[in-house]
Amino acid sequence: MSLMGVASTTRRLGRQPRLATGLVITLVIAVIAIVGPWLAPYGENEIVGKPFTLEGSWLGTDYLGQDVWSRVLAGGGSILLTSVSATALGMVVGIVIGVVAAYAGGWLDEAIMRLNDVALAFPQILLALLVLTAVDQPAAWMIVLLVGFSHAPRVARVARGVALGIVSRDFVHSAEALGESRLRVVVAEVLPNMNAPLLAEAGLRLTYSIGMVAGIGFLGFATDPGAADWGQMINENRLALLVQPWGVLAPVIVIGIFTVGTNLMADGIAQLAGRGTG
Amino acid sequence: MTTVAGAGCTLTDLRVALTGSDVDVVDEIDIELRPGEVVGLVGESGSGKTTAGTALLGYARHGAVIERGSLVFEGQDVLAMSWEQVRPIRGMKIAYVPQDPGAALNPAIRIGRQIVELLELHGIGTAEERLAGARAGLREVGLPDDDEFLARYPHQLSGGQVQRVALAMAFLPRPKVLVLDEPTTGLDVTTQGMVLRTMAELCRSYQVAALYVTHDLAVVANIADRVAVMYAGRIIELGPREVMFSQPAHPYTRALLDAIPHLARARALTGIPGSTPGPGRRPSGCRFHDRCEYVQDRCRETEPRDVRVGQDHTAKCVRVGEIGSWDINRGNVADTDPHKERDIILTVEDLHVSYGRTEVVHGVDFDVARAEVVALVGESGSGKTTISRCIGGLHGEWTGAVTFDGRALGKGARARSVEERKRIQYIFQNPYLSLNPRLTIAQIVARPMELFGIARGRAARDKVVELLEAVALGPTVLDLRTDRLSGGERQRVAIARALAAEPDLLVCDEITSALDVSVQGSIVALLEDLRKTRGISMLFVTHNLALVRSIAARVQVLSAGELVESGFVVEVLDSPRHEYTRQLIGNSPTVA
Amino acid sequence: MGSRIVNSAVLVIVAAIVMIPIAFGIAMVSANNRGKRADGVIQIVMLTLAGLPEFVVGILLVALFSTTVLHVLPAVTIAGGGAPPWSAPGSMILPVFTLVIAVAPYVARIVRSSLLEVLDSDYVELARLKGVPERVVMRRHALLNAIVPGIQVIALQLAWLAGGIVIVEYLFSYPGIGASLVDSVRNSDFPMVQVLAMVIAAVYVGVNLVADVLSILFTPRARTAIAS
Repeated sequence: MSLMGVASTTRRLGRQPRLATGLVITLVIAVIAIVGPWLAPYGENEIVGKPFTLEGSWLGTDYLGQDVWSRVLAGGGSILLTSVSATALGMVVGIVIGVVAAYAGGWLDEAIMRLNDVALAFPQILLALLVLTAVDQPAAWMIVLLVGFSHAPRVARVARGVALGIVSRDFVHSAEALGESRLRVVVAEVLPNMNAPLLAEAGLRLTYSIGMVAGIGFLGFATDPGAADWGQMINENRLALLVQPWGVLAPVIVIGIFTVGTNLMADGIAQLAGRGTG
Repeated sequence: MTTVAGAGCTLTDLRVALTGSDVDVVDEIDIELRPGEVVGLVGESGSGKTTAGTALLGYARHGAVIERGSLVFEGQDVLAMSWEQVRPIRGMKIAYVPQDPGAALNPAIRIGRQIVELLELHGIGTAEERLAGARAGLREVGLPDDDEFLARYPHQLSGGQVQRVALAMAFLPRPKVLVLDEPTTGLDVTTQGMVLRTMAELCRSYQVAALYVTHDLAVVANIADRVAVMYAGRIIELGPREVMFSQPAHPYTRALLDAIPHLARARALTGIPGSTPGPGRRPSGCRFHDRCEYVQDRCRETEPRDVRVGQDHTAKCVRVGEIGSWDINRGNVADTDPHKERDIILTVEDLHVSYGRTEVVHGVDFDVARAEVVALVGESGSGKTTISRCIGGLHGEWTGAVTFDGRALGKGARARSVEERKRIQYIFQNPYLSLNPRLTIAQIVARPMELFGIARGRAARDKVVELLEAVALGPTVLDLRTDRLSGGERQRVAIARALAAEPDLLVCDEITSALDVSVQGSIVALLEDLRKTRGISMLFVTHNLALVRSIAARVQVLSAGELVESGFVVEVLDSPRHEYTRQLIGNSPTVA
Repeated sequence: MGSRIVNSAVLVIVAAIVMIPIAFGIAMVSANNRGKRADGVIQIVMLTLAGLPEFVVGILLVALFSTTVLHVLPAVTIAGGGAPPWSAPGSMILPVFTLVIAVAPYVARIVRSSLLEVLDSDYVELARLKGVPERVVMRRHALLNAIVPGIQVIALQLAWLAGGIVIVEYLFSYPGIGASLVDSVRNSDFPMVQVLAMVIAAVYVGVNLVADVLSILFTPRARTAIAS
């Protein structure tokens, strides 16, 4: 992007307070999650005092006597990586399903969307729990797959809805009358017009991904027991909420701020898209 | 005509502006409505005609506010009244018939209840009397009055029925003033004719003072007693109908009349350059000066006042009387000679088309010659667009033979050779949908050249500039996206894209129906020029018979999927043989 | 097992009964004040709440009302000796409000936007131009047409609650099928997980079905299409 492009984007953001706020919050939390481990005063597994006391740095210690603040700084990377990957996976799979169904139309569309409805009838968290029953300790990639695929049918429905509104427009018919290949019609005519609503959907899906990934940790299904992770931290320190609330509240608050940021961002994009300027 | 004291209404110095700004939507509107008289308020899109119309009910849409003006009705100023005082007048004394009754009737309420809603709210009459009134009203507009009909929901009625229900609803409380907002838009001419006649009868028999808001000069020419022409938020000319159509005084009125086609004779249509400026983009001085062919320096500086031209006739132009007289016959041209030799390029034989199991076109034959425009005319559902889509390769479910330049055409575009796809180009009705909003004009127009190997890169861009010039667009639009263009400009881009393939046949599907008349005029002039200079043949689909006379050499009249009459335009329109054609011609509103 | 299903059903139904009037009320206040300050504030609050995962809401409520700030409500469900959880109504408050806060913002936002769409429609404009009082416009013309999208989003959210109870029940140790499910997953009790998942999925499908039927009943166009 050129310098002028950056300037005009900044100006447009200024007129979209929600999008701007959401973007700033999301970026700040993401930066903390990424560079946090280097800023932490203590190591993530370093014992700095007795469990559940206010020793260590300002947020006190956790169930093993580790420093809560250091673990908050160290524990965002895994959630960020897992939820962003899961969102990307869910978006790609969902968009492919939705756009193919909408563009193909007829019985193929019908068949794909019926199957999709079946997948939709399953609450997202249930799907994840079903698979987790079968494994003792889930790997991180497994969580990515579980969360990603549980998004796919929802993304597919949105993508199909958006695509249906585009494939029925005359510029798509016009490309077909010229004899453009089907792939080019999808890539050059249909997809570029779906940018804005899909971006909004991605923001929404990221919000849910963070909630689900952290939720799975909160329910106690740790991918790496002992490692710092915002979701797991809540579960580890939950019983001591009364004596040392920060062990629970600190990760809860960062997760909350993060999801509020991504949700504001998604809504801001949706607003832009609604005005047709996206 | 004698004005009955206390009847009718007088609107003076109305100004409606966008909320919280000094941008006016309409300004300096003066108009008097007399009992038993229909005043036609004509304007192109963005002229503010609907805003002026709803102001008669003391109403402005969300985002606009009535800033100034008075509306004297029965001795009181309606615009000075409080919100609570105006409400009982609305509907009861001053009624409104909406533009799109399909959307304006509540989809969740049965029509019988909607018709009597207002009387019920005001507690007028007993339930039986109200019901009897509703039945009588439905009979008056030629609809059934039985319980089954009253119990229907709006979606169970046809377009014409819905519109007549809206008329019956508006007339039921016996209003003194009636505002009709383009109530026949989207109706077929036959239905439109019926609705217009019903409306005119009701207005006369109940001595209602009516304001008929429309973009269609031809409709006004048939029903109005007086005509007001709006441009960019002002009434620029107002006068009795006969005078307005024979001796228009304002350059804009004249240009509009030059742009509309006539059923009775072929005319070379001309457009007005540019487009109607919306609120906030209107020039100072005379608001028409930047598009006016008679413009002088003083037009740019001074705002023109109303100048009296004749009895009941005023115009807002400082040059009234200086610009000579106007003659409706100035643009006449000769019809195409029926004895001219024809060199056939496209033949359609026994064409049957279906959608799924339903056959919608039942055996149609016609042909198109080189450098000839053939019109397909019919009402909605006649199959005219369906036929054009088959020829354009957009619909493949047909049987019969379509021969193009000696070779049979495949069914869908993908079943045709590259050469055939290149030589037949399709132009769509709505330029807001037919151009990809994510691409620049240069990309859109260059694509067919790349695809068909005509030119690429630098050479393609040079050709794009040439083509844009040919459709009267400057090279400044090259790198813009379509959202920066007006409807007329977009349609020119669509034409340029079609020309980029260097076609021999253009299939034009109602390509002017989404555009204002002044823009339609210039598009038609452009097509005529392309036909002459490039020898392109055209299949021109339209519902507008008058337009056919100005653009086509031959015409095919379609009804319910069958060809009822075909031949040279001059023969079919001057001496129609089929009853349906005669009916269509009879119902088509026409200026002269 | 049976009593656990009943417990969960009670939790969801109570949450729905509390949520629906709150969501509709907020939506109507918001739509009536469109573009004004009150609407803007409500919008931002709803959007913020909508972004929060349910366990975040739950833990914050617990910290606020039972452990850290105030000590007025029990943090876990006390169901002594198999008595149903509503025998100690105080312990139902936090689980119910966690669910309400998780769901109401969505419903309120959808109902608000469909109300606004209806208020901008041609038929509402015509009703105003006919001189119908604003009160009647809102009641007879607008609400009736805005209710269908409302039903659909409520159904979607109720169905979502069927999954949401997993986390809420675990958090509050509420004796319902969600908490059982988490335990069964942890114990790799596969048959049990299957049964519970089927129950929850069945509720999901059932609620959606009821919603479809209701929307058809409230839409004349759909109703007459089926009748004929």
